[in-house]
Amino acid sequence: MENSIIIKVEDLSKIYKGSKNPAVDTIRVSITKNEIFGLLGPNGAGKTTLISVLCGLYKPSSGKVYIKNSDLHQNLKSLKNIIGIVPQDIALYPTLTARENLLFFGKVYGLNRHYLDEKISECLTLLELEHSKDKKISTFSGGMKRRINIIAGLLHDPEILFLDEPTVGIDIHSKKIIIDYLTEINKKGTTIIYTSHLIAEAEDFCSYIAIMNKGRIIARGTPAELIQSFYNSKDLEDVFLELTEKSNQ
Amino acid sequence: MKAFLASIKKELLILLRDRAGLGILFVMPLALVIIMALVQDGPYRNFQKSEFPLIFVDNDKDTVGAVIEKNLKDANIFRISKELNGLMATEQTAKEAVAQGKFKVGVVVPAGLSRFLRKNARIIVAKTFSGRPVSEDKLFEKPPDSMKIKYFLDPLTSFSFKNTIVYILEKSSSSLISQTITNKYYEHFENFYPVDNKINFDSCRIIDIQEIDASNVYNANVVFNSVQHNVPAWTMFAIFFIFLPLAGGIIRERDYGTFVRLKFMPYSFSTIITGKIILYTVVGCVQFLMMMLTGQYLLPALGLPSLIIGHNYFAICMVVLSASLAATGLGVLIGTFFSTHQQMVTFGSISVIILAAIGGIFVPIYIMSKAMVKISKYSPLEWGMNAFNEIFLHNGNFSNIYPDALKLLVFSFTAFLLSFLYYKFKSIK
Repeated sequence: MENSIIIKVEDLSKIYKGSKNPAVDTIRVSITKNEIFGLLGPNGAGKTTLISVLCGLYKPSSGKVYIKNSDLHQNLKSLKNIIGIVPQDIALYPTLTARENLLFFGKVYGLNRHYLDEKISECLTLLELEHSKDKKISTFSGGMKRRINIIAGLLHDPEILFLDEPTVGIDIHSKKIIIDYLTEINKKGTTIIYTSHLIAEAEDFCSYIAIMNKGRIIARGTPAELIQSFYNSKDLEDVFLELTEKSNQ
Repeated sequence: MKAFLASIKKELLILLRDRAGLGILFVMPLALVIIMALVQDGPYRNFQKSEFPLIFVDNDKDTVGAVIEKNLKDANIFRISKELNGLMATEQTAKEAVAQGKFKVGVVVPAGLSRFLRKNARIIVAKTFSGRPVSEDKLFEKPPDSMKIKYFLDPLTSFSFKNTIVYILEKSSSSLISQTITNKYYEHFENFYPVDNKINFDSCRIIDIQEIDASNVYNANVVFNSVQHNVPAWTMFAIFFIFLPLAGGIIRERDYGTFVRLKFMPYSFSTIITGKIILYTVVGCVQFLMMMLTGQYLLPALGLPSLIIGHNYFAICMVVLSASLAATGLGVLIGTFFSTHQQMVTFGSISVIILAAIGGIFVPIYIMSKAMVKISKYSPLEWGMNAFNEIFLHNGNFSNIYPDALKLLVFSFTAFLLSFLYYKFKSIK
């Protein structure tokens, strides 16, 4: 395995208990270190399932996932320390303040108080939430909650960050703050694996994109490569529509 | 360790900000114990103090009436009245007063009963020395209805109370009959030779009864009253209601998605669940402390007796700890099995109420039917109650309560194991 490849997926399939059709079907993909890897696809394409297997939440039905040359499901406990997760749901305690939530998740990662105080303060400042740190999450707007949700997955400075639709349902201002922040941490060396329905956002944000439908990757490449490969497409949205319609037929 | 402590702190903060949860854990049991102890104080007290109102109609105004009145007074469980609205009670007015619930019992001694007794005693003695054989049924004149002592009871009085009344009247009658006949024998013998000592044989306690000081076995000053029943009973009920905020918290973790986030983290989920278990076990201990203080200080201020808890604090701690763990186990099990808050609240509340009912929380087990007494042995609330009663009332120590404490711990362990197995089963996707 090449040194620059941080995640390697070999013939990965996932069939849920009681289901006949695979949610993820024989996926082969390699993700390079420091990449912003976008997983795009319509609802039910298998993006969330693939991410859940890649970060160790579900076991694959077949195939292997290697993270930094280690089999993920055999070295799950140690590899969890280099993985950060930002789930699609706002996975925070609404009756705790932003700071209390972040302190709790940080301590579960085993981080010390001094480091956490500095890290939380830094993240809150960068995501423009310093003034709301002592307010309960239940009083936050959707965009503010999404930003805290992201910080909670980043406190331990993971090498790989999985983001499942991190900007869904929020205003442009919050979206810009989040994307700018993620770009910033990517520059510092964090590999990002990101799913979204927002094709335009993915086109600007991702360095590499895989388009999924019905559990399979139907196209992959940099945004420019994907647009170029379809003569009639002026942007990634056209590529996406053409590919998914063709795949559905 | 950091994850574990963080989990406890997080649970504590969530609980402290959950007003409804705090109400269920602390205000509801406090209200229940105060109300139930006050409501049940009367019925318990009736059996321990001279509280039963009794209307006594003495139409005899002679020996029999006087002896029965004295024996009723000596029983120390009646408040005896002879007048109604300033007038001497009659059989009719006494009957009406009992029917109206003003008195628990009425006793009427008919006019001329002492004379009837003396006449019959004379007949018995005369027939004894007549020199002719006399059958026992023809030895004396059978009392007509007009010569019978009558009593009437409030229909709400218990069977044991009726037995007490009958016992006092029977004892008085037997004593009067034997003493009157003995006196007639003395009179008869005096016709032939002097009787120097006229003895009241009723006072000759040839067979006597002795009460042993059982303070080494039982707490010397404990009387089983409303407070002694209700405080430990509602404490157990409160401890088992821990399930509600605990199971609710587990379901909310799933709903919020924090459960999934925690599963991604490098610490085992059992570390996080242990945080919940420890916190709610401590909550159970705090509830116990609050209820004991209520029993010892607040209830006496409301005119109720003070709770006596004995001195076996180690045994008490063991029971509280095992009961809290059992309740926590139930909470984790319910929170793991049910997917919605509504299912959890409905099933959990009804289950705890049923376990409380069969466990002797609402009424003491000793007044239940035999079948219910057997069933009660399967309620963890009964195990806790039984252990508390053993310590509070019987001065029990660890060797007396360990079977119940062990049952609570086994219940707790089984609940945790089932939760874990179900969680593992549900995690297979």
